[in-house]
Amino acid sequence: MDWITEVKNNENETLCLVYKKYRNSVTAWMMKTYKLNHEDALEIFQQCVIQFYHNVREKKLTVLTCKLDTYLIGISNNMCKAFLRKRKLRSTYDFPLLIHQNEIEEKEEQESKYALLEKSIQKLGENCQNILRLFYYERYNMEQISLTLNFKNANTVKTQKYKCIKRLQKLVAGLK
Amino acid sequence: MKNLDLLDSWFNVKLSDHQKKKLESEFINTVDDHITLKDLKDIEETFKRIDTKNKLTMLKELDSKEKSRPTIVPITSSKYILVAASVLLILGFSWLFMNEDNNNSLYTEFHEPYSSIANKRSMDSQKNSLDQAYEYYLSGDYQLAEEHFAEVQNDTAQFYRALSLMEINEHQRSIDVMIGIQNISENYPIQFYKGLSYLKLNDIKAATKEFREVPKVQTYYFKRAAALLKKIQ
Repeated sequence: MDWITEVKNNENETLCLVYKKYRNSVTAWMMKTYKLNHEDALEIFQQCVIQFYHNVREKKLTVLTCKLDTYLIGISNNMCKAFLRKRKLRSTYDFPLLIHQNEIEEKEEQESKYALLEKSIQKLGENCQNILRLFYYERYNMEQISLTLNFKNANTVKTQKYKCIKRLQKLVAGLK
Repeated sequence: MKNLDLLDSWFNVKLSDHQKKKLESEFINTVDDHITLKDLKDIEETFKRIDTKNKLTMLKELDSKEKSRPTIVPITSSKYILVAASVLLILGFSWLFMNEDNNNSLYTEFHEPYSSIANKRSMDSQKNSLDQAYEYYLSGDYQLAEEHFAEVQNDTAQFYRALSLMEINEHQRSIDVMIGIQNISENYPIQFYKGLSYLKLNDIKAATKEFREVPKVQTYYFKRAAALLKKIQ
């Protein structure tokens, strides 16, 4: 099966299939290799399937040169290491290190910005949500959006997108 | 808007990495509309997070569905007939409920509000009511949109009235309105949306008939109807 084409054509169904097919073997591998409990292994495997999906979407993965389970184990391996490093750090220091303080603050600020944007996007209405998602996330051009969402032409989409951006700006400002 | 066009070109896949970097250095600061490239990248990242969250929920649901599966308990032979009858009853009911669940999830998966309305403006005396209706529809206030569309007697307005009714879960009324405008231009995906309403009402036969009648010229809806038919069957 060409998993990459499948993900591109039918992402949700394929991800569920991948998840069900490889969940037991990959989590068993994680539990054995890194002595993780089942819950942690499962959570890491979920992240791992999502990572595989984003790699396909962002064209970081265009050809699978090995079996999919080998690829998933590769991602899980790195994720397990990062997970254990984080856990060790948390148990060693129960207060944030001063040298990382700025970094932590910046990250927190960025996170709250994303949360604010998410809230505002949800208040935008389906029409604007679709236009902005298709343009900025799916990277469709105006012509493709006009065909997908049944707009009159690309210029109409462009004008509408501009209005949506301005509306989003207002919503963000209002929620701040 | 000119500056936004320039910033948007960063998201154009045709730009090389070098061109993107050049654009980044030129637009590192705020431009006229108070929109920066960083703002737009943040929008992209937020959509990525929303997508990730939805997909994680979907995977977690797979686990919880499996966990909630019933376990098999051994039974004695004297109770076989009673148990078999109960199982048949339960299967009958679960088939009914699962079918309803399946139709609901298909509806959720394939339904998206029809949005080709940005440039529609009325030309006659009905202007106020129609424009107001479109405004309500765009802002997602479907109850008020329906009331305003109801006042305008033309097929397009009635089509949007039917769509508004769908959004407020009034599927039978929506179907009734759509039946009244069967001769509307082929550009309007009336069969597709009518099919969705029938699906929501669990009338698979009628839904299938509508999805089969989606004209080929409506490429996008034709493909979606085909995908839906595949899933229904």
